Amino acid sequence: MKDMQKIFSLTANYPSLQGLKSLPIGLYLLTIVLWANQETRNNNLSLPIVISISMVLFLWFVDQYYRLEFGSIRRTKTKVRHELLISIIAVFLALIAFWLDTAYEWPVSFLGFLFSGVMIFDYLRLWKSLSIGNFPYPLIFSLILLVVSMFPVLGLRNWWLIVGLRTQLFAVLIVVSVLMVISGILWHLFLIRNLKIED
Amino acid sequence: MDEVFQEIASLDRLIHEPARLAILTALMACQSADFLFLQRLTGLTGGNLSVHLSKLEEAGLIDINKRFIENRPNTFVELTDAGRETIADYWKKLEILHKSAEKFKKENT
Repeated sequence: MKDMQKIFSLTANYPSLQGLKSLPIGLYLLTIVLWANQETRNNNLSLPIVISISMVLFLWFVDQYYRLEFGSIRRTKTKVRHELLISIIAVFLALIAFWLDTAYEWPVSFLGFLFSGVMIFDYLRLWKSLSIGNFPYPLIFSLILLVVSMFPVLGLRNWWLIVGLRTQLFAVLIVVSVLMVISGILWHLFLIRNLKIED
Repeated sequence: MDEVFQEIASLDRLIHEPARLAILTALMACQSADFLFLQRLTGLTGGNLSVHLSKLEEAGLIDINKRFIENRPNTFVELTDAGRETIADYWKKLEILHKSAEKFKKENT
C-alpha cells in the first residue's frame, strides 16, 4: 500500500500525469513547424488540416486508453477552476511571448523562456507531494530549453540556419515539441510505475 | 498523554483500516473516481475493493453510482457529505496525534 500523501497526490494530479496526451500535441507542433518551414508550401492548407484531424483523433485515442486501462476521476470544482485560471494565464503569456519573438529581433527566445518556466512550474507543483526527487527530467529539459533560448547570446548566432530552419522561433518550437514528446513518455512511465496492480 | 490515548481510542476503526483509509483519502482528492482507478491506486483485487466499498457505503460515507459509458458498465464512487466530513476530521485528529507525539518525544529526550 502506498503512503496516504502519495495516494492523495496521485489522485489529485492524475489528469496531469497522463503523459501520453503530450504526444499528439508535441507531434502536431513538430509537423506544423516543419510544414511552415518549407519554402514551397504555396499556402496549401490541406496538409495542416489532415495533421489537425489526426491530432484530435490521436488525443481521443489516448484519452480512451487511459480511461480503459487506468480508470478515470472527476476533479473537484476548485481544482477545475484553478487549472482553468492557470491555463488562461499561460495562454496570455504565450501570446505575449509569441508577439515579442515575431515582432522584434531578439538574441533570445521569449517563447523558449516561457516553456522552460512552465516545465519548472509543473515539476515544482508535483515534486513535493509525489516524492519525485529521483525524477529530475523536467528540470533537465527546462535547463536545455533555457540554454537553447539563449544560443545567440552565447555566441551561436543564426544557429537555426545551420539546422535548416528559417527562424529562431521555428527552431525553439521544434526543441519544445521534441522535449514535450520525451517528457510525456517519461511521465507516462512514472504513472505506470505508480498505478500498477500490486501482488 | 491521557488525551492522546483517548484520541487514539476514538479513531474510527471503520476508516482506520489501511485499504479503506486509502479509498477515502483518494476520494477526498477528487469529486469522484471510478472502480478501475481505485483498484489501480490501492492495488486491491476487484473482490477486496468491492467488499471495502460496500462497508463504506453501508456506513453512509460513500455513494456508489453505476452507469453505462459508451455501452460499458462503469462504477463511480464519491464521498457523501458525511464521508467528506469524517475523513477530514480523521486527518485532523491524526495531525493532532502526530504533534502530541512529537511534543512527548521532545519532553522525554
